[in-house]
Amino acid sequence: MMPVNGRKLLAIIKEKYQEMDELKSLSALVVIFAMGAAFSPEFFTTQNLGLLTGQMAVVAMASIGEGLVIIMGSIDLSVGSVMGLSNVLGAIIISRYNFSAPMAMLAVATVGGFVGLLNGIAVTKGKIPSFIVTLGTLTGIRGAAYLLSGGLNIPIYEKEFLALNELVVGIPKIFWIYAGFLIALSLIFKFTKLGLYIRAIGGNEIAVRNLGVDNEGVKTLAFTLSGICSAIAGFMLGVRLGAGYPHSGLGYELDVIAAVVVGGTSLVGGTGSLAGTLIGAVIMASILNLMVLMGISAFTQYVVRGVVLMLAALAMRRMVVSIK
Amino acid sequence: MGRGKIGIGITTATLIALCLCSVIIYAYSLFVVKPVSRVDYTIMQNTIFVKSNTGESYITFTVQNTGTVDFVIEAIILDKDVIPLPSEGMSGSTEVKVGQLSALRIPLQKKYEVGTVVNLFLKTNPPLPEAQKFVVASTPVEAIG
Repeated sequence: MMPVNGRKLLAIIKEKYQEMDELKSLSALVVIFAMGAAFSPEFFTTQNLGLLTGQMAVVAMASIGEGLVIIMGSIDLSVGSVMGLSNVLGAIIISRYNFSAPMAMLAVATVGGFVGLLNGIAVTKGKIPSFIVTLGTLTGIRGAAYLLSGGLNIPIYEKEFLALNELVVGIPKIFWIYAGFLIALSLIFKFTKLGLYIRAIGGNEIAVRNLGVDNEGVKTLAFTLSGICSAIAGFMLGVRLGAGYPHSGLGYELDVIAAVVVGGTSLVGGTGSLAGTLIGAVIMASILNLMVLMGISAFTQYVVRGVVLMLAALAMRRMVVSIK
Repeated sequence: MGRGKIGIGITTATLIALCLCSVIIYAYSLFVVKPVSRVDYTIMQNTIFVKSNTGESYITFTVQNTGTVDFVIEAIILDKDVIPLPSEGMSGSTEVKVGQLSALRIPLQKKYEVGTVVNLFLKTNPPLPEAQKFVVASTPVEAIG
């Protein structure tokens, strides 16, 4: 065996580290957790970790779909509005029509899926940039949420639905729902051609089309999955709030995009993973949680979150440039 | 050509899957569940005003129907005093339809002390569910004019 000197070993580790996007995000998460332990004694308490997982589950759920769309080189800005619509719709069908929680989740996921399908068809068949299409649905779907609720808040009293916020092994049930979706979609993303096609479309769409892949169908499916994930995130938000609020999910698209980017996904597409998106969501939720525990004002929190997002985008840009 | 055929296939398959889910939900809503009728409301902008020159007092509030059925306000209860509605000199509608708001102004016979807080209950027809019968709105008493 050839002896490997220290400098060479360090170079190999550095190279592997550069290749694994998730490892960078994981390093950032370790730093934040260390800061949490250092600055707040409440950070690592069972109660706070339960709260943290509940907070991050909503953003992380929507980030799964957004992650797929961003890896594909597109963007979905309608995430927050779909969350608002599904939150209101879920509240209405549960409190007024006595739907069971699983059926209500299926119903809101279907509606979210239709919104995503509409986005996908407009992008692929209409040849309109995803930014413009989803900007339109962002406004339209928010309007639909207001119309559906009449601008009113809809309280939910059903115990079966509210029980989804209860803890199982110290973690809220909604997090386990998210974990189920993450595992299922990660397996699809990793072991089927769909995942490969999504990454490939983000890398070079024309080359993929020339290979005979139905890139329009794949794109439409990715947007549909984004709609479904956002709708389920809105349903989870309803569990946390115990009500349907037509303005819920407002501005969430930025939190979701931030989680995806911080998780190591390039905004120009081609690189990224769903595991990275999970780490990104944990990072964003942990920063927010830590700032609340430290008593930092809400205004400063916005500034810090913006700085984190910019730093992540800068890191991603450097990585894309180095790949090129 | 083959590409186009497959392309339509994925989009169509997605559409069919979503339509199938819609059919399941529609069937569920038709055959399994029944609409629930529940009275629920939110009281807002509730204040008792006392005219400083005459000592007359009146209460103003807005009630928003957040339930699933229309209701009629039969009386307001201020701590333990029951004031049946409609009362003389009141303005606003006691019938509140689903999703709508009704602003009421009701003259009061009793004298209220400025700076105190009174609990406001509503007696509605149909009544509030048992679980919410303790819903009250703390109403401040303020001087005017």
